Amino acid sequence: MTTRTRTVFLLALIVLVFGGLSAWAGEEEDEGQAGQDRDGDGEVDADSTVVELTEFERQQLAAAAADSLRSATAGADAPFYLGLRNTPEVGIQAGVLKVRTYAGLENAFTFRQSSTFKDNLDYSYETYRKQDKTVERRSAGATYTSGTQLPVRLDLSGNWDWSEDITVNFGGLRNFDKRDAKKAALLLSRRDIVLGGVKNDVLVAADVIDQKAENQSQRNDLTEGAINGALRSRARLAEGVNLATRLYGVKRGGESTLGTSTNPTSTTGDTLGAGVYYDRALLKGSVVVSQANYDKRYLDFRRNSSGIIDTLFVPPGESKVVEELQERDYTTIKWDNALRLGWLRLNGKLTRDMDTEEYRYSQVGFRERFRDEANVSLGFPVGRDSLAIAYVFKWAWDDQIYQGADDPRGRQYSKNRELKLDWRRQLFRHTKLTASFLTGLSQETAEDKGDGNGPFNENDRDRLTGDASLKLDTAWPGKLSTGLLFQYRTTEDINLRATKSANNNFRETYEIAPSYQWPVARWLRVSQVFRLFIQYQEYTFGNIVGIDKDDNYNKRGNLTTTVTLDPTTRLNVKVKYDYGSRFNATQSRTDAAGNDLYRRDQEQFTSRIDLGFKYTISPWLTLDTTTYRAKDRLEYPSAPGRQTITYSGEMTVGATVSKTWAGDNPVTLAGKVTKHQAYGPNVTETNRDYWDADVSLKWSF
Amino acid sequence: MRTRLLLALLVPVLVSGCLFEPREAEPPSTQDAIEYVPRTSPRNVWTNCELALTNADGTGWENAVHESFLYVPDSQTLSQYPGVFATPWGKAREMTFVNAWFSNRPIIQANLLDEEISVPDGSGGRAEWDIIYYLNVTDRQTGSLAKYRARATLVFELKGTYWFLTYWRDESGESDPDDPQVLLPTLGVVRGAFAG
Repeated sequence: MTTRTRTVFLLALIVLVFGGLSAWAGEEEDEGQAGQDRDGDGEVDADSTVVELTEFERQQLAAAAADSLRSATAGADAPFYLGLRNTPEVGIQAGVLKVRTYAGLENAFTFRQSSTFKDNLDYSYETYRKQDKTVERRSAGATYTSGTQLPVRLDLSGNWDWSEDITVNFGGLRNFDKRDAKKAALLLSRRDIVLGGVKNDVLVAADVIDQKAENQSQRNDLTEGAINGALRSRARLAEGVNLATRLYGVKRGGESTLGTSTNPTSTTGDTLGAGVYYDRALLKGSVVVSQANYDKRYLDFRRNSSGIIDTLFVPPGESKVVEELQERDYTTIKWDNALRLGWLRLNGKLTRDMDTEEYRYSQVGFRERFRDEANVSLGFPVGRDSLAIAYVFKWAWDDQIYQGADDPRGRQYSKNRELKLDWRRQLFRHTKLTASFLTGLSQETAEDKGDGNGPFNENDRDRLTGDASLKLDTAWPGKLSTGLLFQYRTTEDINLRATKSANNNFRETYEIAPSYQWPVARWLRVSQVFRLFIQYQEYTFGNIVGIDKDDNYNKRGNLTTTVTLDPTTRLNVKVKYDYGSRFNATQSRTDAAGNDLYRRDQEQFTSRIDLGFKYTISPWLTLDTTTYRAKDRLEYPSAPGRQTITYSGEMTVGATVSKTWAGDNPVTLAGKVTKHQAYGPNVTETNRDYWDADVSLKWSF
Repeated sequence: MRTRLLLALLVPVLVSGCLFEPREAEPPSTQDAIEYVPRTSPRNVWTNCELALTNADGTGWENAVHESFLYVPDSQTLSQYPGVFATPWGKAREMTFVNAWFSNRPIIQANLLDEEISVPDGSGGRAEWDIIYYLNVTDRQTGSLAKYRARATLVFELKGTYWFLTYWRDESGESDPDDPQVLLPTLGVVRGAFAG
């Protein structure tokens, strides 16, 4: 699209917006002459002054409710046309990644008997900071719904979406990714048709798609029409027991172009589902079964056995584009149940999914997946305690018969179990104790087909995790609150095959974190958090000759102090200081008494101070500024004198605006703008100096 | 009431010992050991990621990636796999993808850090890199070769006492070193292929 076309489009949008503004201004002048007479009784309203934000919200909600109520209740004797609301919006969003400018306009017409017509125009333009890349998007749409005007409900929609992504990569290669898609759709529906005590919903839809696209100089066009229908039924089987079923079918057909190849396309699919929903005394839940399948013919690039496009090594005389046929079948069974027995709550969920897909040309060939999942949880109060226990079990496998192969690849199994226990006890009036225990085991297993070759891959492995924590929280209202956390975590990696078991290891982590928050005065709050981590890693086969794996021991501590001041009602000041130290050590030897001795490899000391100010100028305007300075010292005890010291910092200055000019035609200006400037080893050219913004201007009239 | 509470606490502890027993491993063969390095710096984490890919080792990848990991695809991947990345791609989806990919036993030659690009060491517990990575992946079933070369933004963070990879955003595919006019895809297309 040319620059001229883009300019004309923008000018047209601006004319529409200002035209609307002029009309709104004209109405306001008329209202000024007659006074603020919203209820139309000829008298000036008592409260006709500009209102504040919260009042605006009340008016908006009331107006929206009145619109919908008016259209919903307006019967056949009401005026056909009830109202129009226009909402143009412009804005800019800028961040470290990209800058996006956008504009949009929505017009919503309301007619009697819940009938509506909406149209929208949207435009956006993105430029990227880290890349030579621009993305331009345009869209337009219209939807109409007949409401209750017709014996059946009619929904019509039309959409046009256009986008152009121009990217120049690091090597200077330019790529155009363009897309121009148009779609028109029609939906006829009738709900709650009662036949023999069964309520039914019937839906019939049709759509037409016309898409032109190009990417990496390859055409990808599609012109297609479709028709689909759905029947949903529900019936009461007994008191508190209902049956629901659904049947859906779709047929698509058309033509597509991929590269230089053109071919017909088609899709045929259907879905059948049924569910029983019950809510009786002790039990509440459902059993749902659904089955779906489709056949799809389309043009596609050649793909390898993993399903990835593979056009580099096409056999001589063959095209890289094929007329693919994909068949897919999917079944799911779910049972969801909640049992209530006085103080006891027992919830259970069982799910089974089965999925197969087959390709005519793709090297994927035939693929099938199976998954079982069970979730059981139990919760109950016990005096002043509350307990919750949950168990999750997952079992899945997948298999594949590669294109042209006689035998399947072999199943890859995945099994996961997890058990969780939570206990809460109110120790004293202001003191709460929480204990948690969690253990999990995940297992990957490749099938051994018994042909003497063992499992079909070397990735068999287990991972055992454990987590136990104890937390004590005390909070005196309006006064001091304290917390103490103790946590113990373990992770064990077990690779079963000899080719990978050298890295098997067991890791233990201890964490202790005391903290407090102290509201010294209404204008002064102080808090501190200290965190200590200790981690051990032990290699299971580290003592085998030829395996060069050394156990290690690491420790880290952090103290964070925060002081928050509100010296005036408008000013907020926050000061934060963080000091941390860390060392990593490797086992060097074991002494005669059997004690492991460690050699420190690395020591790190960090300190950082943050300062922030926030000043509220008015209810709709706030200024803020932050800054931090940090020092990082890294030492290597094994190389005395070798150390690295780095400094980093950042400063931000920003403002937040949230202003609404209320009334029948409100205007809202909302946004936040911040300037960033930073330095340090982690600062790149992109985030060294940039603006961060999210500003929008919105009218509704 | 106390007995009920005690039973409720003891049962899961007792049960966990039976249900959560891992399997026994074979003693290692010394010549096949993957030489992972301690994750004491971002560079060491990325080195371990390269080793995990080269050896198709899911354990190595799982240890390098943190629980809070997030992957963001490039626009080419999004257009090839619409809807696949609509929900955030976190560690769970990453490990499902890695396990499925490695099950097919791909032969991977990985060069995850272009030597011409300098990257900072971690400072203060966080490091952000702009890198170019390059992989040659041979499909073991057909013998065909697929190449991936892309520019990406990575974030590493110090969690506890170790560094982890916490964020990976593919920016764009880069040119084939053997034919600069050919644009190669990012690893996002591999993720998209296995996500379905």
